[in-house]
Amino acid sequence: MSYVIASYAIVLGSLIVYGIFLRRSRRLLRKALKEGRNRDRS
Amino acid sequence: MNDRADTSLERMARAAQGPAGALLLLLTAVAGFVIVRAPADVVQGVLYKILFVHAPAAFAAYLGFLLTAVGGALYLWRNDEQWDRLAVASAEVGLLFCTLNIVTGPIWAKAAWGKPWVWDPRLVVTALLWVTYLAYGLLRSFSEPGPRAARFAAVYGIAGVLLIPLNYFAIDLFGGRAQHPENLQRASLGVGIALPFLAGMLAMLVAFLYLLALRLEIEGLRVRRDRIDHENALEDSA
Repeated sequence: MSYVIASYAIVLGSLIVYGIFLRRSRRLLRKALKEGRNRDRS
Repeated sequence: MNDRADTSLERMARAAQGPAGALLLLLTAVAGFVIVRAPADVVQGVLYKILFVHAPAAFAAYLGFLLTAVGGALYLWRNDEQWDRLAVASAEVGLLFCTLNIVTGPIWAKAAWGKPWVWDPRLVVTALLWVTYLAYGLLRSFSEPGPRAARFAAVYGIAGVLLIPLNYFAIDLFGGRAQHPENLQRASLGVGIALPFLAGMLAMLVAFLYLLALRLEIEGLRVRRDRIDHENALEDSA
């Protein structure tokens, strides 16, 4: 049973962590783009 | 060369994220329910339930690597950077699923065979597939972005996809010498196992599509940010 739980924990944990990492990267890139555009206008 | 940043592919990826995320939550709940309720196997007990994440992770990895080759081929044909970005994003997400397949396999093998690794054809070709796309990712990370690196990576990605049929048919090619179980169409999925397998497969494929859509959008944003940074640097130096 512990082998099964370990497998599911690794799969779900990895997918969730990667998803969070991607969403955070997207947020930072959007912020950087907005700041870059604002600098363009000023 | 067409190097538009916000392309139709990236707009599609952005639009797909909401529905794919909602579908993923639903499918994960359904898969969790049917997998918990799936009957225990006569020989392996509940251990065989690793199959419901192990095999779908392999298929998601295959899909990622196939899209890497398709993206590379379309880039060479159309000379449009959006296809190169699809190749980069698919390779990274495919590599994640290949890693999950490679990690869950030895956990199952340790319990079923008594050792986490054997020099079986399927295992060896899977390891080779993983190393091939890890090298693809490293190549893209460390090479200067540009058409030359993209063209080389496209050819590499197309060549690498040949490992997928070799991986899938490795057991047949090596006859009875393989320790890894046979492919599913020839193995008997016992009563009550087909539904959780299908649910696991659907949840994993939707997870793949959701992560790919996110990763693809990030590639587009990164290109736009680099372009703005470059323009600002030019203005500063003028």
